[in-house]
Amino acid sequence: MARRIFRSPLTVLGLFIVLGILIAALFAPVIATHSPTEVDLVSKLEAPSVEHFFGTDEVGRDIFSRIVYGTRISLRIGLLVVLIAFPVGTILGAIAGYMGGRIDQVIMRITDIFLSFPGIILAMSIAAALGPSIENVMLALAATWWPWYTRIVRSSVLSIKHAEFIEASRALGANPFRILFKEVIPNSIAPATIQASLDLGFVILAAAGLSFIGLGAQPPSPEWGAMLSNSREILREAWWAATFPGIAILLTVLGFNLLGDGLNDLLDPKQR
Amino acid sequence: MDALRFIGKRLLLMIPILIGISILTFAISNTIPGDPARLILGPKATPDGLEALREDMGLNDPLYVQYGRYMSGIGQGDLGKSTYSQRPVVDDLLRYSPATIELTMFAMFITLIIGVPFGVISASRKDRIADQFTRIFALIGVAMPAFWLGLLLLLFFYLKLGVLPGSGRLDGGMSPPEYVTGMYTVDALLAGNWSVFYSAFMHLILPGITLAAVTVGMITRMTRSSMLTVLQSDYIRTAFAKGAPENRVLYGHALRNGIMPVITLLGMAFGHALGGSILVEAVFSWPGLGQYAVNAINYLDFPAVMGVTMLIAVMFIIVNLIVDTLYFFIDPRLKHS
Amino acid sequence: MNFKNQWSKLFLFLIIAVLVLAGCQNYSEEAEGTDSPEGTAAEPNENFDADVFNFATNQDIPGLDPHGSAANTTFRVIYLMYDRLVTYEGSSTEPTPMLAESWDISENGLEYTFHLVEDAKFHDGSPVTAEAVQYSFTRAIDVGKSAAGIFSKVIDKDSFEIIDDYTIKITLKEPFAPFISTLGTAFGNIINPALEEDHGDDLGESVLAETEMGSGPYVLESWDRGETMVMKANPDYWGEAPTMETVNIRFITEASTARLMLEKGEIDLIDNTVISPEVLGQMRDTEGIEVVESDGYQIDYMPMNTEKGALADVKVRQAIAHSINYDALLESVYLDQAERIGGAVPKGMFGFSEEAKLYEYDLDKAKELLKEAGHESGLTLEIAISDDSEVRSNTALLLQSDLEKVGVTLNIKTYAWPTFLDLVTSGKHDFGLVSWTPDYPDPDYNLWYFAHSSSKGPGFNLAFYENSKVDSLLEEARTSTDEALREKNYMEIQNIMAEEVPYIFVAQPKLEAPMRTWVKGYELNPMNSWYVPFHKITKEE
Repeated sequence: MARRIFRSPLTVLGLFIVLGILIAALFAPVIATHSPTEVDLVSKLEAPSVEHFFGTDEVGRDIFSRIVYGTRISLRIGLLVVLIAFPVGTILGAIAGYMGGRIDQVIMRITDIFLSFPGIILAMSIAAALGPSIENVMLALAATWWPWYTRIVRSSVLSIKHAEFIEASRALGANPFRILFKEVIPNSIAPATIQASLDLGFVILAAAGLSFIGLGAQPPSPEWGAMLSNSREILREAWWAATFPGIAILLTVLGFNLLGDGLNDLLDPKQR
Repeated sequence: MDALRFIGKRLLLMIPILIGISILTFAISNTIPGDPARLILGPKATPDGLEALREDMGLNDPLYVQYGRYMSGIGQGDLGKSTYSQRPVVDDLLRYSPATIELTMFAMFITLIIGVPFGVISASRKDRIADQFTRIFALIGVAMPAFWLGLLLLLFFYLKLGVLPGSGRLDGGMSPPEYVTGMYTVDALLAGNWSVFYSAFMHLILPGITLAAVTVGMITRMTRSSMLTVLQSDYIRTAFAKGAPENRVLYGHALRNGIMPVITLLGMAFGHALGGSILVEAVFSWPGLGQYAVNAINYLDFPAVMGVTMLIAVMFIIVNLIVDTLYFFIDPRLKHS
Repeated sequence: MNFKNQWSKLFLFLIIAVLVLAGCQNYSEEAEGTDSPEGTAAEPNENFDADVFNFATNQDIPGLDPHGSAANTTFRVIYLMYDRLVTYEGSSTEPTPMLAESWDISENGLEYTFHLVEDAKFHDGSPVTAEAVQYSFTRAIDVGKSAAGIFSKVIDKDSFEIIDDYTIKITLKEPFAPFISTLGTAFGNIINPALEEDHGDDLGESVLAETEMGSGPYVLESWDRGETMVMKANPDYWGEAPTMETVNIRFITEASTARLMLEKGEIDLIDNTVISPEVLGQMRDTEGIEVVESDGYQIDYMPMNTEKGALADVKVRQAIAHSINYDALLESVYLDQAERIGGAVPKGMFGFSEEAKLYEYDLDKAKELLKEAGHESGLTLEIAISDDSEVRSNTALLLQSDLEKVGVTLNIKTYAWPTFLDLVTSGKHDFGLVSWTPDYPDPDYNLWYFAHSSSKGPGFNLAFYENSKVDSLLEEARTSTDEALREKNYMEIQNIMAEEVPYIFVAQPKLEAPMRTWVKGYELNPMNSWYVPFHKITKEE
């Protein structure tokens, strides 16, 4: 298995990026050279140097340190949203696919409602209704994300529903919920898992987009999207202030994507 | 006949979905703290004026009455009056939606002409340089925050090279063509006005590319994986074994069979682009539904929020219906199942 | 071979793409001159057109009803499509004659007699008469929106007496010293009474949402919502002929894009609220661009909720006032393009107080005051800001870092505007940050809103400040016509407020708008910065 991973250089690249992010998040206080939030007006908008690797922003904060600490925020957003959306979507999808009939109809209509609801409008309304915070942005993102898992899981449940081992458990008179959780879900979860690994990146990207329209992370929190968005006006005078957070987002999404693709190639027998 | 029944059934299914969306939107927008009447009147309002306006807007009625009133209005094709612009929401939507539809369709066009060939190349060269290159290229488009990409494109193509315009839908001073579809490129063609068409088209390019960046990635990935499956199949192997020209096998046989999942995804990509257009519209001052929605939420313009949400949902559903209908006609298996 | 084949296709595609782009070179005819922004000055800019003015703003225009709108972007255009009895010219905040040639005020300050110019015509050719004046103000009150908030205090439908076609007498319900000043606001625009025929069931509000019925130097030519509004010079204007033939108001939502377009010469002037001071500082050095400056009556202030929690204690408020490093704030957030003031009346306006106490930056004193108030162990407070301003969010950041030094943890909460407004007017905030510009140059305006107990909350007394002495001083000054007495009262109010610190007046910023150097004759009005007199501006290369 390891050999197969290393056969694709892109998967290896993805693996390294994700590992790098994890390390940065875990050891942020060790890696960062400055406080991520300390304002230092004397050294505002300084270009990258030995003192400030990635330069400083409009109020003199060290961008390198903010990006390092920002990994924690981004990972938290990505993980929490997926951790809410994934189980909700999976369970609903499995129930819909396995039970079929009216239950399936109802669940899929609700899924359709959330799928066709414009996500950004939902996010904006939730942020306006519940107040601005990164938690509410996560809630909004989770609310728009779960239907995708429902669809994926449902269709893979449909494909194994009549497999022998499931028919066998049913014939033995096992509790339907037991079958659902012990047999159906574990055997149909792979595609959704791949999607989840891709989504870790996409959620971070979506959160950055919401920061652009002023929702989400509150100052002085070093959220990458907010950093990028706040410095976009001075992109030409202080390119470093926008570019490094942008690259951080880019690399993170890229990393999770490459890893997810690698997983996909690995788990999908047809493509070996 | 089958096809008609299929479409009819799907259209009927739209109704519960739209009712669900309307309830959801209504519920959420009414939990937003803030008084629409006060926003309209500003700090100088008199208490009497405020009360009168609240009464006038029906804000004093219980929520279910307000909702009922709204829904019965929809039955008559009336989406209410925007509290911000004082115009019927229908008029506003007719004004703002063509811009978004035009931009999204253009982005979908870019997506297809770049995404599909890239996917095919990538699959046929799996794990070789060409594969790695196209995948990275597609992924960077996906992974780049859209507003950042948009600004960089502007800096390069507008400021530096001066080959593409900076913002809006037409050059300053140019008047839009007569309203037929509201899409400037189409209307200009209908009117035979080439200079307006040229200007409208040039204005589409940068926002179109920015919007397509994400969907190109989606389509490339799907084409690649679908093609990989097809390329493993026996008849393709046979075709290659017989020494048929590679391009004909790839784009003729393989793509025809591998395109189905791509078409399905296109519906989803369209939805994605509709959502993503809010950010892109902001960067390029594109007067579309995204801008309208942001404005509506910022002014607690509930009729407008309801209208724009429902419209986007309807567009999403219809595009997916079209995609599924295509599927129905192309894929013979469905007809008999 | 196959490999090459695929690649050559891709290559071909790229070549075509490049060719297409190259073919578009003529899109911008002086492409070679635009390689560097500096290059544009050397040769004539192809975007220059002496008769067309392109103005960029990032805020949409909701409608065109002078009586129904409270949006500055609406004010900007209706100022030009309508005329008023009086107006403000250039950088002056003294009302000067417009439709009213002259006026007499009775001894008791109640009766105002206006003599109208006789050659003014509405855009449909009908004359502007005394009847139109009566119609306009009556409608303002009937509509019951922003304009009514200003006028219904002092006039009602019985206040008017038409003496002849061009003479009208307005009798106030009680003396109101700033009355003439209010007539120069956008709410005082005179509407064609022909609108009455289209009143419908909403007093013609839906008509004026789309069109104008004024007598001003410009007529509405076309309006593509969310995109461009085009105004054309009124060929029959009764006053001085407008200099600029066409005015395009263009909505450019992204500030960085607007800036690029200004550099290219596609835009002549950007709304002064769009670009942040930091970027303006950078733009000063750009060839072909000038930042026009003016003193402003805008004040950026921080209300402290005197009815809630720790801030109810005046000692805590004073401690906060002592712990802010004002100099650093003005320098880094405003780039020194702002001044600090002690009272609610901006510098330059009648009633400005030189003596109102300015708290010095003194951390020891702040800590001591907090100790006296029993907050030795620290305090956690929240500051609410709206999400639309770089200046406010940076100010909040600096406040956060300043207050931390005296043991006060400040949490920043950014809200969308309607939510913000709801929060601060219902008193759920600790601190807020607000920018405020008076509509007319009288201290009554700011002080009544900020300090009178009847204005608490929705009336914009966001500190929920209440002091009966201040109330009675305000009431006395409002109804008096004795300037000396009024000035004395306003000074006293500001001194009392400086001691009790319901508000900290962080800055009175300069107004700054970036424009092309070829724009001549434009001055920012300190109070009506959204009034851009396009009819007097010229462009010379």
